[in-house]
Amino acid sequence: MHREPIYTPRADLVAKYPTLPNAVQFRVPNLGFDVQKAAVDKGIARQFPLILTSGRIVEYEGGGEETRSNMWLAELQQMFIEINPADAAERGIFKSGTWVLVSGPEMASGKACRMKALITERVGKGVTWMPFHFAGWFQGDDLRGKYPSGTDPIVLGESVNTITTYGYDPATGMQEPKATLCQVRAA
Amino acid sequence: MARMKFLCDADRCIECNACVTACKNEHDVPWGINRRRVVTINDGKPGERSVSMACMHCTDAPCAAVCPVNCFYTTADGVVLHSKDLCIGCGYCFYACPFGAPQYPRVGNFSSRGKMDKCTYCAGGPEADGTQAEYVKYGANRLAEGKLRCAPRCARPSRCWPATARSSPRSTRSAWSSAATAPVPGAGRPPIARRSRRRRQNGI
Repeated sequence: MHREPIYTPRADLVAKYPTLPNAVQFRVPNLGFDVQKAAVDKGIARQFPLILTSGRIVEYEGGGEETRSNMWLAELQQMFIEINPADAAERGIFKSGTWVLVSGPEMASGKACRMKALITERVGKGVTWMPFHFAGWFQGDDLRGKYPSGTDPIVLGESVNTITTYGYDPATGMQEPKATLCQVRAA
Repeated sequence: MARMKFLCDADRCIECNACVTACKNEHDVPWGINRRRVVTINDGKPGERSVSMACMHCTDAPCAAVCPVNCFYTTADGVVLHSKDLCIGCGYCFYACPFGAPQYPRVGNFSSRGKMDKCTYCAGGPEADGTQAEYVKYGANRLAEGKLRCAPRCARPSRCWPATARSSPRSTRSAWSSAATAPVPGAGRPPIARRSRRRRQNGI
């Protein structure tokens, strides 16, 4: 049984393939149905046309606090968003490594995450991808000063889950960090 | 003697950078100096291949041919080494090398170059084997310890380096030549976030 994600680029499919009805799971409400309906009614997919998903880089681990604190590994990577060349060109982004601002449907208006673009055909048109190994910047602000002394990793970056949105698995309550929408613009 | 060669299986390389990390850790090279790196061709396209690149220890090394101070020499194992005492940091070897192996620390304003640093096949330099003077300039000398594998070779999680030492010249692969001209992928180098821990000073 297919169900459309709560934030889907195909709002026309939501009527046929809606997410599960609202429910209470172990005392915790799961209001996914209402959130999905509101997203469709508000036309979120027009404001945020790009699918955002996240994943892993082989040389990094988990949230990346350990690997970004290791000098040899920290040198290898920094936070980026993979974007298809066609989507990038529409937004005036022509070169990998340029700074872009990424915003998501549940972020406060005017706020955006700042990271570098990696223009690649690895993602299809309409899809973007980010690694989830970064933290320490929040919507453009460097929070290095808030780490306890001596614990700040060498490299900080925006966390992808600043952008990801509402949604919980009906059986386990696992959050939805893999399927959402975003908009990208040149910084 | 055997001729030491690197042979990376591009069908197995998953671009994990474990070889890069192992190399930097073994030799304690500072941030921004990359004796070894992973080059990806056709990044994000069908047929994408990655290959680990460093000094290829050429039989007729172009770096040695252009060096104005003759700081390069080839050991009995076929390893191309150089003397940082003779090197003047002119950068000719960087232009001559088809693999981009020579690295230079930035030692002053206007990006002035320090003495060249490159992969030594974990074989140190002209100083006496295993001495601190050798380690400070060139990093570890694993060959002198009797290890026939460089540190990155030992790190390979995907078994991407099936062999490194060959006594015959059959270890060459055409993949090297195409990989050498490929652009380095990825989102670019991160800025130097803070001063790295370095035992070795810039410019050595």
